[in-house]
Amino acid sequence: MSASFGWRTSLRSPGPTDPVGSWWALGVGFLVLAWVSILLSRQPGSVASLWLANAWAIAWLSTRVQGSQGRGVQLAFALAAVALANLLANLAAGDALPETLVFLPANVLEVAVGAWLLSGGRAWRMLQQGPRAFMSGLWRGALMPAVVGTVLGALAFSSTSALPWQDVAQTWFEGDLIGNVVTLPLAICVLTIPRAELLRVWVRPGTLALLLLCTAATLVAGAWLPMPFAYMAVPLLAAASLSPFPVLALATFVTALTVGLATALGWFVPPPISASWESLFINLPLVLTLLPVLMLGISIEDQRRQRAELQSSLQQLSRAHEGLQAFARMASHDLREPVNTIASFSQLLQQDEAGRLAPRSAQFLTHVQEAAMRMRRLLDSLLDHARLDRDATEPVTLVPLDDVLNQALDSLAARVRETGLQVQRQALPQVLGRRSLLVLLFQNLLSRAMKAGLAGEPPRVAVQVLLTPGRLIISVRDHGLALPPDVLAEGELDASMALCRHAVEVHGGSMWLDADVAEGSRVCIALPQNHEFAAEATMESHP
Amino acid sequence: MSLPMPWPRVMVIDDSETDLLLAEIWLQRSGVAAEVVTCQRADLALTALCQCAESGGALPTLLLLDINMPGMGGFAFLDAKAALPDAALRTLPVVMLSSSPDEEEHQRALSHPAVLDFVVKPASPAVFQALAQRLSQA
Repeated sequence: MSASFGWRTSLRSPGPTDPVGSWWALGVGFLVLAWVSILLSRQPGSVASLWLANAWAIAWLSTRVQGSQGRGVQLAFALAAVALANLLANLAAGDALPETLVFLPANVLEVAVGAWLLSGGRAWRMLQQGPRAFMSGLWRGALMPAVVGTVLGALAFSSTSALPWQDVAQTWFEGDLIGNVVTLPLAICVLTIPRAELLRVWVRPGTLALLLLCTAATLVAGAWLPMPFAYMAVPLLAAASLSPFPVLALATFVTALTVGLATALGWFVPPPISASWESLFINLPLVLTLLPVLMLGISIEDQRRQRAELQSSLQQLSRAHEGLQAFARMASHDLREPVNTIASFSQLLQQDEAGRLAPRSAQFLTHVQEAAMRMRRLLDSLLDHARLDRDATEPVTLVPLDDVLNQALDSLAARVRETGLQVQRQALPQVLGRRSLLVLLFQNLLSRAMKAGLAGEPPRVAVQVLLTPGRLIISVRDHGLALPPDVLAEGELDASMALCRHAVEVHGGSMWLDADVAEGSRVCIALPQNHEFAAEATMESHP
Repeated sequence: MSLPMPWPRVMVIDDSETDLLLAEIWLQRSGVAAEVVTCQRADLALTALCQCAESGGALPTLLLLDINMPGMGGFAFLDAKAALPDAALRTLPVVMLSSSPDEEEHQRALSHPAVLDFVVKPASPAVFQALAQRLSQA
């Protein structure tokens, strides 16, 4: 059903030349719907009526009359068109003019109230922003106008006729409410969704089959089954789950129209077991049957949209991330060259001019060299960070820590020789982890230990590992310059320690500094280990 | 493969002029190379090597080859060299130079039969001495 999302993009600005949005569409639409409603209510079997026209006008006004300029004039014209169409429909149905005029103010005011309550984009939001906006839209555009119309209509009618006002009010309210609830969503679909999109989802065999099924279920259940509304909801529930919302809106409308038609024509004459069709309160339970279906449909539609949005933002995010990684790799690679040149030539200068440079100038040159070296280390860790993000997706396997330590030492071979690093190590077990991240971790810990070495003696490092059920603890102890106690705190991290912490966190582990160390420092790392694998690993490495 | 020390003749192929200059200076100062020839383009280096082999001139004992170069890069050079008819040129030993420590590049370079070692720039006398030591032990 994801194909149905196409229509959302072009929703916001309905074209000015769109024929359904024209004044003619307002007037003729109202006329037809009003005339159908009147005809239905005049049939011999009908007590409950169905008033479809007002919701069309409410939807038209709340989606078309926009902008501050000339808004009052537009509104006045639209209401006049509604009044005229109403008048014509009643006259066409054979009513006398004075009778017709009695209902006119109630209907026009109802439309005005509904359009006002739904203005400010609320009609559009009903279909776009989930169940809450939909419920609020029905409250404003269906229920409140029905209340206003009922009160005014009943007052007007009771002043001119002998019928008790309660009867008029109930008939009016029920017919108005069901008409509004089923017409408003459909009308907003028609007015805000591009016609090609609507036709695409409406004119297809599945939709036709659904409409036939709705009609059949309504007629069969209404004529022969007790509690018929429950059965009428079944095909609609299927539509709510499977179809785009405009299809459900159409099916709901057709179902309500079928009930109205069958009632009016007397097809529902054999009284159902629960209550007589002739009794009152027919449309209210129908509303209560259709409402949950509409709510379900709009909720599912909302979920679909959110899933699609989530999917697309995830894709965007991952593209951005990949771009960033590629940039970091490129930057660290390309920036190394000029930095290397600075470092190398300042070193050359220092060698060649050793006797001739003033001591201060030699000092300056040393600063240049040190800065270049620092820059190079930073670029290396930038590259490591980019690599680490990539390696974070590497699968967790059983990794021999001995291999990891050897690999880390190999990659640091030049500096190990230079500094004379002494590594004190035991036989290390196999652990569960991501190989390249573990190598990176050891590289950085060893390199830090070499950096912290005291002048005049080779740095010493002791690597110890404790494998407990469910947890692996690695400790790297050196005897050089002690790390400041807050070195692992956020904001205090240097590039190398940040990298270590990142590698540990990707494993779901933790990292801390042993506070009870007299000289040098001990960095501890705990990595979670799956139970069975950990036991197996211990057995393999210590047979 | 063990090379006589100091290496009689080293050819350095790198597009960067400063890197070539530095390599020349460091190779000579560290005493690992007696003679250094430089070339700024891989394709020209290949032509020069072929001409040298044809005319019976003295071939370099070792090539130092940069990986990232515009036009013909280091790996393309290796492939072209491996396809040469002259066996002496095909087996001419190579040490790859890279400007960043990229593990994948490293492995790819070492998988090539003619490549003996891999050096991350910047080179320095210490780096070349260590390289010479590794190659003489190999």
